[in-house]
Amino acid sequence: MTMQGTKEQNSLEARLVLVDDDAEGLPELKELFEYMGIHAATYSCPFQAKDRVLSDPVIEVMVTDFRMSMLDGQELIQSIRSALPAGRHVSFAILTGLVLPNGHTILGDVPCYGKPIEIDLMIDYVKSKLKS
Amino acid sequence: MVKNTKIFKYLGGLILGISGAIVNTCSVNLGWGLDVVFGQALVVAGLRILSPAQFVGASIISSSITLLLWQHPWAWIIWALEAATLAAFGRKSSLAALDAAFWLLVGAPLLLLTYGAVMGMGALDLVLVITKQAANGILNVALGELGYLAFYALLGRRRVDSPKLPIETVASSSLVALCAMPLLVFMRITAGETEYALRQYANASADAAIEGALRQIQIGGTILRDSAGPAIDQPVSAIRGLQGGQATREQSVSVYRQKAGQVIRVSGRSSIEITQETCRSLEPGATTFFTATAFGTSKMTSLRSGLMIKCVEINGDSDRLVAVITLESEIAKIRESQAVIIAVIISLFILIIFIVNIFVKAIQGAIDRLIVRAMALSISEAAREDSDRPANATSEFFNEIENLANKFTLVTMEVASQQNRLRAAHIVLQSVANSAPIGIYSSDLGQHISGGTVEFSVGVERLLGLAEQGASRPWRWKDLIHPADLERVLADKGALPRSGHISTEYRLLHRDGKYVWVLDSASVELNTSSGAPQIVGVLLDVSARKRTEQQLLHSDKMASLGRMAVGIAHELNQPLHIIRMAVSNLSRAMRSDNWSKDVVIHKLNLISSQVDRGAAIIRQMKLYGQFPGEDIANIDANEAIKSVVEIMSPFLEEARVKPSYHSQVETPMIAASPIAFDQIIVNLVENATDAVASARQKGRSASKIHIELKQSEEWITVSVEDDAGGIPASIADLVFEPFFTTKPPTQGTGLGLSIAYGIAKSLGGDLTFENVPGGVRFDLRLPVGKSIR
Repeated sequence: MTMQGTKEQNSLEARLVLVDDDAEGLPELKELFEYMGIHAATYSCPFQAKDRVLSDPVIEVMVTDFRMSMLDGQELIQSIRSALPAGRHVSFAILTGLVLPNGHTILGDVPCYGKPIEIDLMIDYVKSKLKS
Repeated sequence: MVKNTKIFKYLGGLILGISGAIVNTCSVNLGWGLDVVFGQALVVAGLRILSPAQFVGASIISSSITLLLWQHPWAWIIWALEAATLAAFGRKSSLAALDAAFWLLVGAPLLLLTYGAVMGMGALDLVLVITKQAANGILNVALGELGYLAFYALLGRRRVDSPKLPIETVASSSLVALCAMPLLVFMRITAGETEYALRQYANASADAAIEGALRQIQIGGTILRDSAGPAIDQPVSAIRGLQGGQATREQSVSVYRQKAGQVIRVSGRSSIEITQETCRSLEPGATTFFTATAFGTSKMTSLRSGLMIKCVEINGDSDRLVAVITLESEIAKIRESQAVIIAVIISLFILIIFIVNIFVKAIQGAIDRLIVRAMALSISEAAREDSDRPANATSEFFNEIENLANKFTLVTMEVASQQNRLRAAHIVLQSVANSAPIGIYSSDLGQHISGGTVEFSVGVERLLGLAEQGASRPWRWKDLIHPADLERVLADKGALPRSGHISTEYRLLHRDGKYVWVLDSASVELNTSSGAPQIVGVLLDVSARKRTEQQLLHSDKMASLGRMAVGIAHELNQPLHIIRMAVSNLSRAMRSDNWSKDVVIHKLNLISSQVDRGAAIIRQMKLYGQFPGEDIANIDANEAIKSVVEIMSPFLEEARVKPSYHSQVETPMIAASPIAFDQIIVNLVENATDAVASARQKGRSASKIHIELKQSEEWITVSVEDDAGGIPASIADLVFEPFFTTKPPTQGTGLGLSIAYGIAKSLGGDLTFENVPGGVRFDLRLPVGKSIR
């Protein structure tokens, strides 16, 4: 694992992108979703994650850490949204170590999940945003 | 002391009296038995120094010599009365004027009574005596006053204790002396010539009469006596050899034939006896006339019936021819002229005294009016109206005084105007000082530095409740300062002589027992009167600001605590998050039997590493809360820094950074806990290394970390500088905040700089940073080894 991301985990069939600059936790998160049958690509570099989302129309959902040294989660979501082509929709969710009240959202519709996450809630949200 | 002064004064009076008596014996003969004496002038000179009794005593001693000179007590008594009058009234008025009044009202009547009625002196002689005594007395007073003036001038700085002379006295005394002295000198010079001429004439007359008588004897005639000559009580042979027509003057010449043992008795206004021993009075070189001694030995009174005698022995016979010449009418004429001169002198005296009195009174009046006007002008602006007519009332005699008055009025008006402005400004300033929430104090510099007494303004008294009834004065400044602030404040004040100004905050004790926070801004000023340095300071009540600051500090602490709690939560949630997912994944795997030993071991290792991660955070929190202060020692900063860099070398090599180090001091001893100092250096170098690494990741060519050590008198400064781009202004205030970091989660907790800052502060130093070209420089300042606090 390096700051350049987790290249071995970026399977082409992934519809979910996971981003966290604390790379130690990414494999476990990916494994968690894969148990649910959801393939995910993981990135510790938010810029690489952005490139993947914009370049891969299969990506439907991105779950990102909030506080990252290079680019925080909110800025990442905003930059992706502003760059998405018309007609394409990507859902987002935020993970954060900060203590937040349940149901807290940012940018109007992006739910925030506090670490350590409530796994079922998180999975349910991702599932609800994936088509079929 | 007072007793000694009194004794000295009595002694002085005695000396003055004796000296006056001695001087009186040296009389100045103005001719024909008229003498003036100046011993009294010496005594008058002491009038303003001696007490009245001492002065009168000295005068009595001085004038007692007249008892011997004139053989009667009247002059002595009158002079004593004169002295008593001067002693009684002389200090409040002009002495010359007073003495003139005395002779006019007391002296002259008494002389008339004593010399005239008692002693039977003739009218002309009385006039002469009275005028002479008066002139002599006034002149002595004038000379005495001038003598005192000279004495006063010689006193120098000691004169402050001696009374001053009124201008009237000085003026009248000077003019009296100036007028009298030339006339007296004239009388003294002409008296001798006149007497000599009269003697020569009388001698010639006597020779002629004797020659005629001898001629008659030779022809066997009888010595005849001039029919107009004096009667002979006991007739002897008489020669009527002289004719009255031979004498051009109005004297008569009688020639007597005196046998051995016979006495010639001459009767005139007074009777005298001529023995054979009394024969040389007619010589031109003789100093006295042969006169009857009707009034003692007084030369003047005896000369009233002055006679001249010349004796010639008859050849072959034991008889003598005695020529007796009477000079009564000649002397009377001379005395008339003397009386005129003395009267002129007296008149001049009175005129001088009168004129001087008038003008001095006029000048005094003018000055008094000026003073009154000046006072009025200085008191009231209404007096300005009076300034339009200053000349009319100022002086009736002198242009100079009038001009002076005008100038004086203008100056006084200006002074009054400035005084009013000053007074108004003073009132405003006082009002401001009293109503403003400030206090002013002043104190002697040395007193203040040592915490001594202080002069407080009303503002300070109000500030500290000292103005209330019962508060004791003066206040010792040191007693009012909060004990916790005292050492610091004394140190600050101690720097005043060098710095000239300080501004410091501390607590002062209020009378109710509470403390008031004050801002003390003090400076050293020179006392305008003594020139000594003094402290003048202003105290401003900053209690409200302090309360606000404390509230803000409390709020900031609470906010900081909140941020810290959030930071701790965030940092701990990261490993907890991973642990939960790992546990969840492991649990799912084991439930589905889709697991292997390696997977389990991997998960457990992951969980263990995350537990360690959490534990590391807790350890750093412990370090954050620890403020090393007990194990402070003198350590060699060079050695410590080199050691830290050496220990960090693996980390630095991995980051491809090689710090440079330069010390300006060979052995910089620093007062710090060795562990704490190392911790600070580690944190600073780590921070710089991470910054360089981060900059490289962003494509910048950062590589430099330079450590520099400098030393001043009190401080050692260790600077750690990098070229990683510096700290953005937007986060400058957060750099030392705990848990604030720009690093990725696994590379920093955000506690490093915060911990370094806390340690630096606890060691009595400071940690600051400053952006420099290309990067940032952190400056760690710690006290040198000897100034361990």
